Amino acid sequence: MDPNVLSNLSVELKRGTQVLAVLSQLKTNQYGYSLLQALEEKGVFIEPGTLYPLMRRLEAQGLLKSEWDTTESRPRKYYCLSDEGVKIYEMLIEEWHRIVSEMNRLIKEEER
Amino acid sequence: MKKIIERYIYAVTKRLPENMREEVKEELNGNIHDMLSKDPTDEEIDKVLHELGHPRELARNYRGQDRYVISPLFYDDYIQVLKIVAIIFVAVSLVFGTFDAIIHVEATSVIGVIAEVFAKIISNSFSAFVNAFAWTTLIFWIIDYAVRNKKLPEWKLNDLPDLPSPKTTKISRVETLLGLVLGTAFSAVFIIFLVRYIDLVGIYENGVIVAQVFNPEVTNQFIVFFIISAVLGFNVSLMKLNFGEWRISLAIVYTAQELMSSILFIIFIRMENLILNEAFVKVGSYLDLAGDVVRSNFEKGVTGLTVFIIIVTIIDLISTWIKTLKHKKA
Repeated sequence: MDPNVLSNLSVELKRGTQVLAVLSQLKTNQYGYSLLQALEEKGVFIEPGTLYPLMRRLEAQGLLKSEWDTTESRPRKYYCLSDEGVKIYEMLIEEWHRIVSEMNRLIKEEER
Repeated sequence: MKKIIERYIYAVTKRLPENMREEVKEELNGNIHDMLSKDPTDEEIDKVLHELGHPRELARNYRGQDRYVISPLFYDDYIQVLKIVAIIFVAVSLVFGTFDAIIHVEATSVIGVIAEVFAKIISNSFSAFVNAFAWTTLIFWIIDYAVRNKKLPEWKLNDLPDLPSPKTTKISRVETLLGLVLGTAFSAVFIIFLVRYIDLVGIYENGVIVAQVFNPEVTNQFIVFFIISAVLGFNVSLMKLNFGEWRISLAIVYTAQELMSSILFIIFIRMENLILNEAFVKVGSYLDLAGDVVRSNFEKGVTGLTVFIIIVTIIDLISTWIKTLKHKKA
């Protein structure tokens, strides 16, 4: 079997969950690297080259808001959920639970 | 080594739209330094930058959407059209290029002539291919750009292509394509000949023309008709390619076009003043005959040719209609 097939499918499967993972950790202010670490601590690894652009895109879509902190020597851009983002996050969680239970039903049926 | 980070960031931001650059630069710079220790070694920088990935890839992630000259939606159509256009362009240039190359040879030795002719033909074909590629791509780019980010228009069931039905006679694609290529090439050569080289046709003595054969006053009147006929023929061939089988509508169009071009050609060769009198006189002088005798014999030849063309055309049309109608019993 071509090992690429499995890894490609796995990457595709994870891609949709990345937004959910990012939103879940942004109830408090985070900058790029701190978010990367927060996710990593909980065992979720997103490539930095994927994560940083993703944060920007979510901001452009209005799910995140950001502010520059210039008090330290190097300015940092902090992100957190916007009001809109909170709403959408909650709806996405519902959607997620629905998907999980649907999938579980299908997979368990198969196992029986 | 600090410079390397700046260069990496530049490699990313230069691929982004102008209004994003400054912010992405600031943010990326911050992120990279956050990932590094206070006083990073060269290896550390190397590792972090590679973790971020190829600058091209990172820029693509920042941009968020892929950009195309020809989007995947049109790609298959584009390749199909490109193939046909390239074949036609190259074939026409092959024929015309050969003709042109032979007429305008500058080299004197036989080897020189052969080399020159081949070089011209190859360079003509190559530039014809480049032209075909450029024009097809440009036109598809414009179409693609025009419909980009728009939803495709509603499509109707009637717009779907018909299945090639086994109950009709297939038109061989290769044959049609070959006919298309040769037909177009021949028309192009013929028309260019009429436009530019007609007065070179004549009887030469010691390399000097002593009698011109064709009367440009007559041939010039026909140029526009031959162009129209060539364009029609070209379109009918495209229809044949497109339909892929003989159907009544196609047969009607084909008949009309075939009749028109045959009749046009017959009129052309039967024009009274097509051949200049000086040519008849000159030929007569070689054969010890009066110019009028040569002319009347020539006219018999033309009549024979006319009959031949009519018979061939009729046979072709009859066989076309048999192919079209033999499955239409219902």
